[in-house]
Amino acid sequence: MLDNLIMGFGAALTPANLLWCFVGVLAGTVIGLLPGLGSTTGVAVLLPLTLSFEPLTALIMLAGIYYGAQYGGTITSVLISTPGEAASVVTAIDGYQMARKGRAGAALSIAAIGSFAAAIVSLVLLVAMAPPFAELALGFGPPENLAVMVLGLATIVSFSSAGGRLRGLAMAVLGILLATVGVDAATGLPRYTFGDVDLLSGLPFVQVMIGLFAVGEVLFQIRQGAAAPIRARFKDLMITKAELSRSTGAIARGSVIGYLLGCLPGAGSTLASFLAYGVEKRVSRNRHEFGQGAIEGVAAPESANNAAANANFVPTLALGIPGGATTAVLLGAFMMYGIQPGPLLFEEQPELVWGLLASFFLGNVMLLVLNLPLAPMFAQLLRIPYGYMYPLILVTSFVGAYSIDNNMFSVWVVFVFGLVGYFMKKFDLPMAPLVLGLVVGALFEKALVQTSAMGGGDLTIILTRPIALVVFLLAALLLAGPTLLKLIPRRQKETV
Amino acid sequence: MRGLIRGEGAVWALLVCLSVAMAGASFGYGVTKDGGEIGPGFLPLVSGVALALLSAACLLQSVRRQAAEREEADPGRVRTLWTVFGLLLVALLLVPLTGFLVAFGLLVFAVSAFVEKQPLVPAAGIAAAATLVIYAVFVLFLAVPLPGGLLGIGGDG
Repeated sequence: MLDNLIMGFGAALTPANLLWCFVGVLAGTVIGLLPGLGSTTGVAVLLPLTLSFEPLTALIMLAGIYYGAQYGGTITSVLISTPGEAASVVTAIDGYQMARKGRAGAALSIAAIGSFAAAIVSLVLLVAMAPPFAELALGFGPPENLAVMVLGLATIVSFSSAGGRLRGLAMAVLGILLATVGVDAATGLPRYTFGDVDLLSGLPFVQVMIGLFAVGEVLFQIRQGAAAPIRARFKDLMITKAELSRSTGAIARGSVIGYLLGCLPGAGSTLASFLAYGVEKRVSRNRHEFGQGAIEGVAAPESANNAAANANFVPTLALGIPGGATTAVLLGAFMMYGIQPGPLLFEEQPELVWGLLASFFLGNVMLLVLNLPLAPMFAQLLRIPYGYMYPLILVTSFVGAYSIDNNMFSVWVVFVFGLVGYFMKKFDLPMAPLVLGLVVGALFEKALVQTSAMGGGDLTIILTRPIALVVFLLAALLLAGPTLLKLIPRRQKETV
Repeated sequence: MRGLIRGEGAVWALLVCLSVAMAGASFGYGVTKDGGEIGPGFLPLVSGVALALLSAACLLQSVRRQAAEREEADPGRVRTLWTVFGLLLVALLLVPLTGFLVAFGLLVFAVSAFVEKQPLVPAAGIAAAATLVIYAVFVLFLAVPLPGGLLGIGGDG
């Protein structure tokens, strides 16, 4: 394995590969900064540019765009509460609060450091365990996938505050219900479309996110009397040693969670980031600060989504099954270069596979070098008076949403969900469960239908699958645990 | 009742209605298939019923604590909020006529100059600069075919 890794670094460390890796990371970061344009769009838009490249160089550049765009999405999540992708939604919760307290530079720095650390952890795990994990992932059937998604939803609901758990659950269910709009994947039957062609493919969740987070936040800030410009001193924008040490555990846990979930086809970075945040909110010493600007609330999900992005390549390379939307586009790129991903790829083209894996590490070094000094500068954007800033946020949000599918329907979705987002903020309704429900809704239904088919209509088949059962029990414990824990002391008092 | 269900309560009441309607419509899609397997209406029915129950519970909670937690916002800010929202709607309705860039350029100018009361010249400068940057990035670089409207200005890739 070590020989393979050395060979991989040898292949990746050529001047041309380093240059295009840097171009990919930089272009990805810029693309991620634009609302609505995430890594999938970035890779798809820039794919034609790489057609004349060597396959390894092209894939290194496209992978650079992938994680560069994720970091770009983080920047907008933190600065203006506008996540570029679903995986950055959870970062906006504490990242934006840190920014409002003048700690945007620290939030952006820890996101870059966390992503870099996650790249190292996931590279080590990829080297050590990629083939066995690929086999394990293959053993995950619909019941197990269903269980993992329920666990993700339970986690996000469970970290709504105690009084808000019911509201969190309602929002998650609303997300799943809204995800049923459009053509049913199993039968092709249109549901709740009212004859509208645009609704056939369902409610577009990136546009929904832009509406909820960006436009909703702007409207809410206008009502609040506009957020004051942040006039932090330059040195206040730098990350401190104490913040770094607080984040270490969160980064380690986030990286492992991200890697594990990233190996599963379909689960992807979004679930990983939500789950990592939920775990951190349970185990962190500073859990009372979550939601108000806890640095662990940025470190954990950012590490998780980067580790998941890297681990997404396990099912893509080893099984030919894309781990997420971006790796699906990258799979298309593999085919264009005449490369057939699958179990034999590691043996037949080791230089390409290990060169690509080694480039994740190099790309993340570049991301760190590029963004650590730039983080405080990005944070300076918050000095612009909000009266000038919010019309620009509105325009870029709407034009970004339009550019996803090139239609006005996307723009109207942003408008409607902007209003929804405003009311959700006004009444303090949690947005994260709604987004996760909407994002995983289609996958959830697919797994549910397949599980039902496996059991001939009998869903108790889940009880015969040990992994699924354990994960379901864990989810139930997360949801009911806090309430049960509250009951125990009461009973004890009553008996005394 | 009208006095009781307002604010957050109205949101939950709306969700109860929405979920009941969606759950009701789910029967038309077929809740189960012939072999007893899950049909296209199953998830909408289950999630619709679950949401109706959860929303009803939240509605009760909010009605109980409504009297204690009545927060009044500054009426001026609320007026500004709805003005901006109205201008957004006007901009969207203007797109088929003036095109995307002009409509949203005008939106930036109107919000900066008249809502936020910034001086006219800087507001116009910012609106023009924002329009040009968006044109350069989205139309020229990314080849996004923004609608040009009847005027055909700066759009359609």
